[in-house]
Amino acid sequence: MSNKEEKMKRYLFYFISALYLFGFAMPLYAISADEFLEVTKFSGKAVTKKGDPAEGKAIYVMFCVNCHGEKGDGNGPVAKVAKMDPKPRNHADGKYMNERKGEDLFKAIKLGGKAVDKSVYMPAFSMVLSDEDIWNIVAFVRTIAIPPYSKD
Amino acid sequence: MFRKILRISLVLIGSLIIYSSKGFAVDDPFIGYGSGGYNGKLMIFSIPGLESLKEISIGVDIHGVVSDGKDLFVVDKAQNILFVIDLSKSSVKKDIKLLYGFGPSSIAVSKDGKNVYIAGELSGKVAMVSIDSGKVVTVDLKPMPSSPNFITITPDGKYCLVSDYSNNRVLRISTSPFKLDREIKIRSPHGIAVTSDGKYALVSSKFSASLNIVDIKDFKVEKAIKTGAVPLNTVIDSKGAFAYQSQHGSSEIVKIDLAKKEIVGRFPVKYNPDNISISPDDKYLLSINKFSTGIYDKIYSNISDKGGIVTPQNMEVIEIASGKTIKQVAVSGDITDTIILSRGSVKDASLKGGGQFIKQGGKPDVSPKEGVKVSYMPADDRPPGIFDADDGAIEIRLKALSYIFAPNVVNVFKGDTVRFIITNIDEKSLYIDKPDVVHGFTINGFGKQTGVLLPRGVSAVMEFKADRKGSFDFYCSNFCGPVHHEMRGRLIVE
Repeated sequence: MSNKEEKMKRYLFYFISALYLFGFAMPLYAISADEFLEVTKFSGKAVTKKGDPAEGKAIYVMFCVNCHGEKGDGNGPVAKVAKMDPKPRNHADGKYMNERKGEDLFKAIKLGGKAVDKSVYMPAFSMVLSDEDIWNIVAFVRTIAIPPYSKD
Repeated sequence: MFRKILRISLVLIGSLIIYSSKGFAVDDPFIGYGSGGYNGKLMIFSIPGLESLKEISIGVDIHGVVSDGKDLFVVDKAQNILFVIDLSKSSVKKDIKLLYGFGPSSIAVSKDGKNVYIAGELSGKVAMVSIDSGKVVTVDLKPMPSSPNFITITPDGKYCLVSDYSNNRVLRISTSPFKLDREIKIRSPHGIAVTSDGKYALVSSKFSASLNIVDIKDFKVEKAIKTGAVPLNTVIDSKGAFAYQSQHGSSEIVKIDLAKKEIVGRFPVKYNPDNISISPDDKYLLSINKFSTGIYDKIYSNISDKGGIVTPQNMEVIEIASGKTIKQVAVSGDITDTIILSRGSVKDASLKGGGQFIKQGGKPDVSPKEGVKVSYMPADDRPPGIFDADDGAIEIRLKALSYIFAPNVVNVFKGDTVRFIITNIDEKSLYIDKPDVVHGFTINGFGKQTGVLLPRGVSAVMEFKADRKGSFDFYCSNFCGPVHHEMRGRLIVE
């Protein structure tokens, strides 16, 4: 076997190893602390007197986005696959959301969809979240409405 | 010629003797104990070799293995029982019934082994149990919901420290009198470790990606160090020089210099660790990795003839000096807690090597069922809710997704035949991107053994008679991601 051939073979081996590594490692790549904090970071402005939207966002990201989506538009990854009917609420829809009282949103999160005649998919978060955190979620949801929420 | 044959035979016989006695496992200097979660077992294995030495069937959902040097203590989160296990015989010698609905998730033991302290995640209570008398005293946390999911004790035995994820706080509870003493705000707290001098508590904050160093006396956060994504558990070495914290989201163990209060090392693990422990000589770290995607994909056969793939979790031993993984094996169950003891301190001659954690092609090892019928059907794509079935049963179509059950409040009447049809509708585990996410479903304290696994692609069908009135919490009983503990619901029987 010539030297050149050997070199070619070695490069091919490196190339295939790299492909293999990336191919397997990439989809399993773990997120870093910074990437995680970026996802949970709140960069907007509070529009309600009650609740802390920054705390609310951290919880929203963990409990709500699988259905309501990262943008809060109701297009979460599971919503489509499970063919949820009705679709999860679009929290960015200011026209609808801004007309709802803070207490009503609080109640829907706390007691779940069934208790307020909405979707059964919406669980009762009173099981695990404090009232304070539920108000934090309401405060966050208010900040993503378009047109903006301005009633407080 | 004859001599040659004799020599070969001697070598063969010799190797056979060595092989059958499994001398290599017995040589491992440490013994690890793991509470196996949904397999209902205490698992005993060698460290660093990770050979299975023994498995003891105990209950339904086993958590929180701790030791006072003489005994081991574990709790059954499903059945509300504390078990005392004799270390010298590796067998249960006592069980103490906890309160109805208590939902124990983590335990701590006093140095003298007389009192055990238990975090009742599902009930919002913290219990002190006297091992001799079996007397149980509780502190009721307020406001509700409170979710004490992790507990540890200070070296002087004066305080228990408890994390409560529902109220983003860590509690300091005095042991005598047994009462709530102080609390401190820390967002989404999880594991806590206390330095051997009793000065500091190291608290993981899941959603702040940090390790919080808490001054125990003044009870305030002295410093928060950004460590990794979704930090869960922390261990401290025997000299109090370094702490190690598992990062569930970033799949690594972070090493922290406690004098400098800074990160000095990162050990990648595969993948998504939860519990970690350290060997008494500070040489080895044991990481319980909740996902094995791409490593142990094909070990189990499908959970049913309708499909349903479960990828097992794994244990990984890291040699701290080199930072290298020296052993990794697939394990059954959902190992919730581990402890590593010196072989010399265990003195149980019945612990022998050669056991297998998982048999290739076998089915996932779920604790035995009592009082319930379980089967699987192709994934049910009907909407969730509570319906009257044609055969008169109450059919509860429940969806499981990262990280909720829908619906999570279920009302039935006493005497009803209840049929849960539970479907995992996840595409993948949220934030850790694992497509092989498997949830679990277990009802606490119902007098029926209800643990099932919920792989994607199939629905678990669980049927039983609701023969007891009351309120029974159900929860995810297979670690599924950053908010696994919070995945809960309630069955109300009127």
